[in-house]
Amino acid sequence: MIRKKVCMLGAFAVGKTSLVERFVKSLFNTRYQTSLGVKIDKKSLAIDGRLLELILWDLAGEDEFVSLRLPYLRGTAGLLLVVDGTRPETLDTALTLHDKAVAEIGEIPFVLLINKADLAEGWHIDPRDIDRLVARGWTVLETSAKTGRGVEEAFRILGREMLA
Amino acid sequence: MTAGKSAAPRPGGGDNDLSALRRLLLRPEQRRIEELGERLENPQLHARDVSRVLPEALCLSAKDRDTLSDALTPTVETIIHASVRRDSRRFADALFPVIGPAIRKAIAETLRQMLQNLSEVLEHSFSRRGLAWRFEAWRSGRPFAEVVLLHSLEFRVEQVFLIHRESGVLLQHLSAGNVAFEDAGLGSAMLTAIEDFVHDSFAIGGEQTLDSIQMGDLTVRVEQGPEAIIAGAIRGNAPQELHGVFHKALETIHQQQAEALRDFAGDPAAFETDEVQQTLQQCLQARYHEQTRRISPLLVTLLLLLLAGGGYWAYTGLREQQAFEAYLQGLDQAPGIVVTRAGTAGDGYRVQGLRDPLAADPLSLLDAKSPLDPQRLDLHFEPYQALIPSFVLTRLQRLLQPPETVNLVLDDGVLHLTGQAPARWINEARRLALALPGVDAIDTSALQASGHDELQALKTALGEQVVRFDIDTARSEADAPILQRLAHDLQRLQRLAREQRQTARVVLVGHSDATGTPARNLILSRLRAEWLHAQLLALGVDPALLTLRAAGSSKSVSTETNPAGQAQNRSVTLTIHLAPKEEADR
Repeated sequence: MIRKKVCMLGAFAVGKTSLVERFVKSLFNTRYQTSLGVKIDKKSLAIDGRLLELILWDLAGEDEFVSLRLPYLRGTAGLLLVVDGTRPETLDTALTLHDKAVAEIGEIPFVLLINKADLAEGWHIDPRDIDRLVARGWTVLETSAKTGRGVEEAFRILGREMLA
Repeated sequence: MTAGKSAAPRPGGGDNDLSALRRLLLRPEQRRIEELGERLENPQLHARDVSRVLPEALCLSAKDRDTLSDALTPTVETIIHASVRRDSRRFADALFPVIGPAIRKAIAETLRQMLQNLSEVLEHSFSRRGLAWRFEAWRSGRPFAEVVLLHSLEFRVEQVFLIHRESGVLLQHLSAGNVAFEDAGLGSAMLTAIEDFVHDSFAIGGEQTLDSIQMGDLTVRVEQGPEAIIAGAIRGNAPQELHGVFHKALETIHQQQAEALRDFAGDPAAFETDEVQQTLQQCLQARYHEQTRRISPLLVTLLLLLLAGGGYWAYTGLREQQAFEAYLQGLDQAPGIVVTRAGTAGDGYRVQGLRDPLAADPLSLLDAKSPLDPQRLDLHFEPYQALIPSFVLTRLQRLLQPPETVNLVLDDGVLHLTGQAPARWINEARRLALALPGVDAIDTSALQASGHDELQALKTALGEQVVRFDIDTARSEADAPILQRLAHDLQRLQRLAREQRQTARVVLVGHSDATGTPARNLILSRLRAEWLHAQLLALGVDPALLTLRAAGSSKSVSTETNPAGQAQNRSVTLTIHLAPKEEADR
């Protein structure tokens, strides 16, 4: 079994916590996130016959009042960047967070999740922005906390990249 | 030769010549002096020279230890200070493997002394306290080990986590006994997060680390190493010396798993070795202390009361049991009662068996002073007939209802009837008694029918009866009432004899007086007997009872020859024969 630390990053209220809620094993209360700035969950999955245990650090969302606690990124093996599809500014936040993370810990595998896919008609993100990211080799997935769409796949893709 | 050319004296110069000469003579030495001067003045060359002799010089100086040490101490101190100031982590990393053993050595002696005292104390008081704890375990129904633990637990390391320092990923986890932790993987990550949080939030800089987290009687002790962390969850008062234990374990793991720690990429399998397990196991320590809690007087009183109550209960129980056994013995000895099964049943006692209705009431056999409560006796007796002679006799009494003149004795199955009873009763008794179980035979040889005396009296009376006749007549002058009474007596004789199981025969003997010829007398006596016979038959006497005999004058009633005697002889007398019926039938 391989254990990897994975950090979830994203702007405030993009739905990080609810996105993974039903896919992970939670031991700690969500109020840890507001007090400590992080909530830790566990996600186990098998990739190519290997058991992978992701220790998921769900970091508090960044906004103008709360900034990312960089020490939490130490020893991270992968990132989940979460964006709210209905709020284009959250994509910018995600990009900034990614840059900060790279500056702190260097290049590591990551996946960008455009959340709230169930509200696709309300999306305000310019598809060309996404295309540009994909063209840069980024993995971009559409997810929905409501339907669970894309979440398991995101874990798999990230897991596979981390094991590569 | 260059030297030759340059040394050629120039004409006309004395000083020059001298110099030339000096040069000529002392050139090699001069060169040597110049060289030496250069070596002394050129720092590089001088350093090289010193470096050649320095180790040797140090060795020589070391013999005079104090001088060198004194000389070097300030420098070394300055170096260390400078190094620590510049990069404390590097210095700490360098010292890490050696600092532990050094400290341990220093405190080992102190601990040894302390343990010696402790073990003496333990040894001294173990037996008494041990017994008290055993008693408490018995009283409370808890395992002895648990009681000791509760009394003496000072601290216990319940869990130990080995955590990858950078990522917070759990490398190994051990727990003591049955202490469970839901998810050690998440716990270790959370611990790292807390440390990060504290660092970040309170702007703690440098190499300061989280040492412990405390909540109630639970302490999480954290021991930091360069690559890994050991965190131990400790219940109770965690002693400072645990730091040493954790530290030593961490050192060992750093030494043994240096490569695995450095190259850790998420696979904790490398730390699942026996080596690591054993090292971590050493962290799962526990210590117990002697407790000098006084036992409350209330508890002692309660205990004594319980003890007294228990004793009384046991005593009464024993007494009751003994009383029950005595009662059973009494039942067994009572005639007509057979106990087939007995024992305790629920709160009381149960007895099953057979009982003759004539036997005593089983409850009445319970001694009034017996501690056994009759209410708690459950008695079940099936009725049966006992062949005990006294019972058979009682049954005979009830069945035969003998008159007071009869005595019943049962001896070995034979019923002996003695005394007097009406013949009818005797006959009935013979029939009924044999139908009763326990009576094999009946003996009435000593029993007289109550009509016997009457019969005898009647026989005597009839035997004395004389029916007189006049001279030479065969007709009596006896009154009709006399004959009627005679007939009645004869009929009564026959009835009484029958009742006495006897057969009566009456011979009417005709007599005559001595006057006349014997032949004539014989005929006359016959005629007289026949006359009476006819009279009696006419009065209803059973012909089977009577027989006739003519005695003539040969068997005189009276031997007197006077007229009164002769008149006696002109008569018919009655001779009565009584014989038992069987005899008569024969």
